Amino acid sequence: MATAKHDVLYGSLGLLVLKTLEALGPLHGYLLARRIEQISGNHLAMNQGTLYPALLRLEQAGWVTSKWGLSDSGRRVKVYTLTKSGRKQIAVQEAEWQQATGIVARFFDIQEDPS
Amino acid sequence: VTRLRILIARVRGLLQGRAADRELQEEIAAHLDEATDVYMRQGLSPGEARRAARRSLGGATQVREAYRDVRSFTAIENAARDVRHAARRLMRAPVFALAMLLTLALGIGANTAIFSVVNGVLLRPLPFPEPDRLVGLWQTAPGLGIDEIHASIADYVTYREHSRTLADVALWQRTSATMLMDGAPERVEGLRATFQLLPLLGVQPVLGRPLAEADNDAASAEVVMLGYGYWQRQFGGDPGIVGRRVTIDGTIREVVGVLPRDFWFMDARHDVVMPLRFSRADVRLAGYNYGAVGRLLPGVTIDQVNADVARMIALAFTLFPPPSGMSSVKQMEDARLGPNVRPLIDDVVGDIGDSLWVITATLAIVLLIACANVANLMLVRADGRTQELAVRAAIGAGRGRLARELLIESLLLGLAAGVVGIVFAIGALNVVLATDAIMLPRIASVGVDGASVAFALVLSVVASLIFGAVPLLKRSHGRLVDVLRAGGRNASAGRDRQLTRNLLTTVQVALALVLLVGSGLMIRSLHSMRRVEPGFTDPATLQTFRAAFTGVAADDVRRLQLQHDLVDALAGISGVTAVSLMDLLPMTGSSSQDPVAASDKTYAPDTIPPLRRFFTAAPGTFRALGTPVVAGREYTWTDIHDRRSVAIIGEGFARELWGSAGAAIGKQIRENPNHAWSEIVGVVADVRHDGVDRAAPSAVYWPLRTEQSVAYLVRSRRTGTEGLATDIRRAVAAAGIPLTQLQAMDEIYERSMARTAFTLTLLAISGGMALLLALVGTYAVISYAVSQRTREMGIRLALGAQHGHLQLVFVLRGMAWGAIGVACGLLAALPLSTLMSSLLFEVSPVDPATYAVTGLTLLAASALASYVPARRVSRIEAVEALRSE
Repeated sequence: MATAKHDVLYGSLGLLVLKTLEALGPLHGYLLARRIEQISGNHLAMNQGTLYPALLRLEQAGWVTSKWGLSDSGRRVKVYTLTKSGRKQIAVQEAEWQQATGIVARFFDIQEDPS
Repeated sequence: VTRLRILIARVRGLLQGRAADRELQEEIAAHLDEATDVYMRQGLSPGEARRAARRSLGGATQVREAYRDVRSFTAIENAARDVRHAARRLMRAPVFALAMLLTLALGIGANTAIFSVVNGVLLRPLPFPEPDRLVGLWQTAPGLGIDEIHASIADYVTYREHSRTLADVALWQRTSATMLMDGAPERVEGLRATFQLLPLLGVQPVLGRPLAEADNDAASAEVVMLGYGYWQRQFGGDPGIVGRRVTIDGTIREVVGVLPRDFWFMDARHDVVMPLRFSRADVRLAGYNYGAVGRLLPGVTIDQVNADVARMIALAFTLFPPPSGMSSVKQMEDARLGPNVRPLIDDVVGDIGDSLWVITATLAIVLLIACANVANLMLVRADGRTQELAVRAAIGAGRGRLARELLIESLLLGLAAGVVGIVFAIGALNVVLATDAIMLPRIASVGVDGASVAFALVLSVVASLIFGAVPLLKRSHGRLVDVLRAGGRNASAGRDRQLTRNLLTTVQVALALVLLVGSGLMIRSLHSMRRVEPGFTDPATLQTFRAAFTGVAADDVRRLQLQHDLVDALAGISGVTAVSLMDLLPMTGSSSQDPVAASDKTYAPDTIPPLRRFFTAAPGTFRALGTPVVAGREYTWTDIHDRRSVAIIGEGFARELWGSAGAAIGKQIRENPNHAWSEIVGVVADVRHDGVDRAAPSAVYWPLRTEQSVAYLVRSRRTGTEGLATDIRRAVAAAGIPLTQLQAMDEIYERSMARTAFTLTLLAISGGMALLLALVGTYAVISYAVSQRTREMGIRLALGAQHGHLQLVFVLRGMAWGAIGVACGLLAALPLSTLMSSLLFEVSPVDPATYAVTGLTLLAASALASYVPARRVSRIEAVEALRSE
């Protein structure tokens, strides 16, 4: 295979979920999983099941809410919606993420000592 | 904020439990369906699409578990589940569980009850601020052969003015008096004390003022403080009581204050508290009649205060004149007075601690036996589950997981037993405390409280670990493959367990033997006590009461006549065969003692003759008591009214000085060099004044002279009946005298043995429990052995063995282990019973008869306990037994 698939980086799944909901609006579990995979350009391999504990965690923190609704095919599904504090949380986490990647990036920038 | 929100969500998750599980399941199902649809649209067959959907989801179980971890607190949920399972497993064999529960609950309950008593009586500090700084200031007088004497007023003044270690000191004394209530005399009990007593204890009156220093001066006006209960009862809690005048013992006193409701001091009743009065200028040495209580300066040790008191005892000799009748302090110095200061709580508790600790130890042993029994039952259960556990281990259940289950089962059982035990303890204490039979100090502070509950729970956990560990240890040996292959008939593992069971039973028998030896020794002690001649006869037909002739007679002559008249009046009651009086009834705590000199003996100058116990007798005292007059005669009323110088002495005193009772008649004695000689007119048999378990003191019975508070003796077959009580009350009331403590001599006699009887009862109960448990243990083990070896028995029967012989095998086996238990128990009992020697009376702690009888009884009992289950062998039919498996 040309491109190796990558695991979801530990702890980043929450941010991916929030960003996806922000961009695409309310989604149910399966669609959410598909969209994340699609947005990654199918480079992310995730067990879709891992989404549910992550969603529960976000819900407990009050960043998403869920309620039962109907899917396009008419099935009873739980639909997740981003909340106001979830939106704020994206900004916070994004900043943290930038900072973290920035720090790692510096290590790649180390030049060999010229002397 | 977010953290808090998560916490709340998780707590809610704990409650939602199953509903949340169902929702997740539905959500995942929908997810799979959606995914399957998508894959089918991509051209996969329904089956393939389904598999692909599952693959992309990942393991549904893992998802559920991860989800659960997030949803709530996994540890709690798991624990709750384990407990539920353990409860279910226990309930699968309800009789078994109930037997274990009750056995343990009895053990824990008994221990909790005794802990409540020990805690309330011995351990809980006195109800005063900084109680560890309070001390009783006693002294010793080795020169007079006395271990404990109280303090004198001279000591008190010296302590107050010269101490370097005491912050404060107070004198106190129990007293009883007659209060006139609306013209009717009423007996009140109380304290006389110096003014510092209340401040020293940190007690404030609820009304009025405490005693003041001036109140202790003999020249000041007489005052009194009332106890809260007495104030409520007799004065209806009158808020204007302060300033009122009351008449006590013929003296008018002003009420200055009321004590608080919860005031407690040395278990003494305190209807009234009156100041102890003296005149500083008249204080002389000696007169050791007062309790002295001190508060130490912070940081002072008992050793330091002892040294300080030693210094002050010598100092007092230089500050005060010798007692009247003594020319110099030389005689005082011969007493070799020394300090004997101890924590105040020791004064309250006395030697009851010995009994309580022995009982505590025996009940702890009972609990150990109960644990051994439950461990045995657990082992039997574990055997039944060998297969199940082995299978579970084979399919991957960790050893730790299985051990955890067993331990949770034990803990659950233990805690349940603890709760039931607490209920038992409350019940037992209520019953015991309701009976007056035991005279425990501080009994008001005994009860099942938070500390008792905590103790019971800790005990439950410890017990659970003890009996839970045994099956656990036995488990870890079993090799999985062997167990599975043997199909539950694993010979070697079975033998190992059987050995453990036998050892547990042996331990039970040994411990039971220790307790039974203890009970046996107490029974022998009580028996010896009952055989002791107390010096009076047939106490069940001797009615007694106390009468106070205070404030009713102008002088001694008149009072003696009143006392004489009351004797005559009582003698007129029908069914009364003898009446008399004396100052203090035998076994009611007399302690007055003084030196007595005889005219035909010479004493080195300025030495003190040996001390004798002083009593007062009247005509007919010894006839009423039933004390034999060994030589001479009793007093006559002429002796009394004419104030003749006569004396009656005890036989021991007579023998000591003159060799025989008869030789003492006509000899002369006196207590004080200033007094006239008194002629000995009678010698009576020795009386056990200090209780049956103490030697009879060397006694002098002086003739009745100035005694105001006396005890009447009424010999009658009607003793104890309401009729006689009414007749006596009427006669005494007609004389205008208050009557108290109406009781049969029997009650006093029994009370003197109450502590032994109390200890015996509790020891016998624990011994009985231990015996029962040991027998049940033996029975269970033999019974189990029989059932395990049914097949083997069948084979042996088929080969021609006799039933009788096979039975004998089992009985002998039971007896062999029993014998080992008895032997170990005898060895253990030797050192343990010497610990209780202070409770024994005229029985050696290594009394061979007790040991032999107890040992043989237990052997016989274990033979019986083996025989009953062994009889089942006789019902085994060879063919059936072989077919049975």
